[in-house]
Amino acid sequence: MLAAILLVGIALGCAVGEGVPVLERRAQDIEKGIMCPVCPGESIDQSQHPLAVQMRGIVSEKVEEGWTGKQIEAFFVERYGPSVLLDPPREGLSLMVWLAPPIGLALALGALFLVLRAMVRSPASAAEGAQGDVELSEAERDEYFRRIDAAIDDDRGEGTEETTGRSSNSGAGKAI
Amino acid sequence: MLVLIAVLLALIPALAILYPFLRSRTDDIVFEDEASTYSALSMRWEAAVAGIKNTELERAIGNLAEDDHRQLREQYMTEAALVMKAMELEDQQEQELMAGLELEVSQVRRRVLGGDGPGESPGGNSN
Amino acid sequence: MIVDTGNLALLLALLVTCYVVVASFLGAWQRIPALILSGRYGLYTVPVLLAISSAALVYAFVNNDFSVRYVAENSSLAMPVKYTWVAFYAGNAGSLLFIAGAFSVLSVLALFTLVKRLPYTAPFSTGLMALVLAFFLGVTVFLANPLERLPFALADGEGINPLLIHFGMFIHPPMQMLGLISVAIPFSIAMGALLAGRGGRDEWVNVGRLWGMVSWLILTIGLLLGSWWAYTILGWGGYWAWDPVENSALMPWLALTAFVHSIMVQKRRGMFRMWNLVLVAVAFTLAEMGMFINRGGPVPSVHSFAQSTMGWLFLFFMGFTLLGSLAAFAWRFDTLKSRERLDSLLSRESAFLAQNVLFLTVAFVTLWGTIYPVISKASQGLTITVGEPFFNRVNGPVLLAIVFLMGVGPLLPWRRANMRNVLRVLRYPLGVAAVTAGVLAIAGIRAPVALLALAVCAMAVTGIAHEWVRGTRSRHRKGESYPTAFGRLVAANRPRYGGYIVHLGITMLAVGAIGSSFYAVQRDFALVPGEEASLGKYTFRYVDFQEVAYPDRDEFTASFTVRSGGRELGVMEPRRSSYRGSISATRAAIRSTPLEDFYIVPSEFGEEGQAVFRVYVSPLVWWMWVSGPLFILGMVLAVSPRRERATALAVGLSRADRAQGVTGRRRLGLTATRRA
Repeated sequence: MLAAILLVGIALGCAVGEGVPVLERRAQDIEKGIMCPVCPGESIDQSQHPLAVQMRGIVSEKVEEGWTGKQIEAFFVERYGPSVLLDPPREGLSLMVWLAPPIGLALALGALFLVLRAMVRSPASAAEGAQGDVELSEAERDEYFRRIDAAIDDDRGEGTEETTGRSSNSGAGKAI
Repeated sequence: MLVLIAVLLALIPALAILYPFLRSRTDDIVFEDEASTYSALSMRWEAAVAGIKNTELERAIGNLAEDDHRQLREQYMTEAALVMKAMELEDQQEQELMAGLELEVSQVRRRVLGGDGPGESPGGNSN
Repeated sequence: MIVDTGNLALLLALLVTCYVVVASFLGAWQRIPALILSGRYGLYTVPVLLAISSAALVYAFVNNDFSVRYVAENSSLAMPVKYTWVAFYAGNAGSLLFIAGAFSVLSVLALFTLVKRLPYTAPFSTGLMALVLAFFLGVTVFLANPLERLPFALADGEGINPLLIHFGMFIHPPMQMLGLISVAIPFSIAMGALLAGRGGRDEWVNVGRLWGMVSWLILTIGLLLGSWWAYTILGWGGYWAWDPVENSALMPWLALTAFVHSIMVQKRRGMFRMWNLVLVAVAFTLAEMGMFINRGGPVPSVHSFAQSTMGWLFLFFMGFTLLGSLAAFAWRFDTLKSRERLDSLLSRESAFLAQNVLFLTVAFVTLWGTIYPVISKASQGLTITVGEPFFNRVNGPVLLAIVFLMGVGPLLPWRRANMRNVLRVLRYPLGVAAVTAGVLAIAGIRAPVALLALAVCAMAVTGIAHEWVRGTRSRHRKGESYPTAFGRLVAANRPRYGGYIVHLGITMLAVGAIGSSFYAVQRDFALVPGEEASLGKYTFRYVDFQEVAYPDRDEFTASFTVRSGGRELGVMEPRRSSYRGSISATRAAIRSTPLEDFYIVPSEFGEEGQAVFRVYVSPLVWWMWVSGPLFILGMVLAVSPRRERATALAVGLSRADRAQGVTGRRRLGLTATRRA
């Protein structure tokens, strides 16, 4: 119930999209992709530098004149060079910027799968891994199990679940 | 004045650095807390117990299927039991060794000094 | 006189630290206890010496001693005394002293937790920490000494950077520096264990995990505060711009996040020994990279506040760390074998490993994007900018996958999970996710990515909540009341539930990020006093403006009355200060609610208060800032020590017996632990 109210709230909160004219929205989207040439790392949308303000003016002007985003970007690239775009171009050598991450991720996931598969123990080594050099007789086993159970029971309140006789018996019933 | 301050300042680290060399018995200090070190066995023991508890928790919550629970519990219990036995064996050997050594030392003492001091053994000459 | 004393103390600290490096390694290598001890005690005195230097610098600041270059560059007569704290680390030299001082304290604290538990590892770790410290002190003494004197005293200083005059600046930069350097602690512990030949024994894991988490928490808080500072003062309505400096703090955080998860596998199962060492080495290398970028690295950034060639020294140190770690691996490789194998492809262990891969992917994508401009400059001769859109587009999906994994991973049991059971457990979270998506779609959220992302968040939260409910209920069935059952459940499984609390915090961050990046609305308004405008459901009237002249700046404050849906929301006062010397700083007025933030920030004020105001409505941002306490709570819970109780007694021997047994063995001069 509470969650439902929260959800509707979120939706209402997120749905205020109205109130900004379409052209202005488009201009903003374009501005977010163009870097302010004198304040490295900041888009002209973020920056309050006079040059950024001026460039914002140019963008909205061009948008109103019906230029497309590509054209406007090309306009700025011509004036300030390719580094004015915050998004690296998706062509030529710069395509590498975009391709490296997915390829890297794919390789990493492949390696992950191979490593995991290699790490999965084969049934034969299962017993060996647990044993080591000490051996237990059946009687010892039961005695030790009882003491371990007691020890864990002692931790009651701290421990998670009390170990009941049932589970240890059912365990004991299944010899290794 | 500045020289005096410099000397005073230098005295702080100098004292700290030289202190261990000036003490008569130093070899005890660094490794004295070995007793509280996790030995490989007690770490295995802790891991096994944590495994058992965690298995119970995950079953209670419902994340672990009954079948898996039984198998895992069995594995952890066996591991814990093995560790327990190994610890006991080690302690037994230890006590035997100590007893033997004490006996030996007291014999030597009796022979050499004719006294009967406490059975504290000097380090490093056995084995 | 006092400044000279501070200088002497600094020099002495460097000498002592170098001695500690030699003494610790030589002592550990040759097993000379007195030498080891001498090194350790020597390190204990370094914080004292650095405290003296720092006190001298503070003294110079407070007394406006402009014969000290650093003081002259970073403060002025007009600067209020409380900003001394900020001015201390406002420049390169001071921040290096701060880092060295803070790190020396951390090292000593870490040593306290180490020496008792890891007597063999501790000397190596001491040496490594001292090595890191020696590097910083060396750079401070020889290249950027904050106590260096000018040939003559100036009448007044240049003053503090106005962007730093903000409450967040009292905590964010020190936290960030502390966070970056603190990664050296888990690194030293882990590498110390490796060097001591004990990497294959898991004894270092508990301490390493503790310090990994401490470091993680410091970095997290630093990042959060940095974002919050950017949000309230940089005046562009955002909080994260994938700026190189931000990235440089994020990358070690990502690697460390991978580490604190995967270390659990070693703690529980004795597996991933090598991998954990790799992770912590990567985290530290990335932290050094961060410090390199901060200190005048080659990447253009908004806040590379300290341009200098010393950056290259940091790069060298980074390479040294990387190669050194590699060499240590190669040397001690044989000690790292694990006894255990993985039981099943579907298990907690593999979920952790998958998580690691995703986190490292984000880290390396970030690294790639951050340094690509440099690469392209070198290879193509022209700088290609890699900005926010790239990072959002590439890291966004991976981050979403991480949140998804956060919903699934905790439900997978250790060692082996069975698909049917997992699906059974997952049906609630998945159901809730579907319902969430449905409700949100009906309520008007249309962007498919936002829908998917919010649904995944809902799934993660439900997974956590549901597990809590199931755990509590299972104890309740054993006869405990619900509150007791809940309390005991959490108390008995602190790492688990502490982790879940942190996960809740992460989900809140995710929700905030999704809301604000998909649905933030902004618009610029040119207004004069008396005018009214509206954005979304908010209507705001520019009532009045005020200009106050201070000795160092002119402060313009606009006041707005804001209404929403006929309801008065009160007065909001955005501010802009123009400092002498043409720097200006804005302070946004923000009305924050869990649902959305209403945000006004002014740009230049003109005649009679005419100004352009940027107004934002940014949904769900509030959730990001309140996640901080959850991180702290969760981490404290996760590392809080458990009383070691009866389990140790189970062996049937009293603790004293065992202790005596081991002590006895040592007295006999046997090297049982060494042998094993």
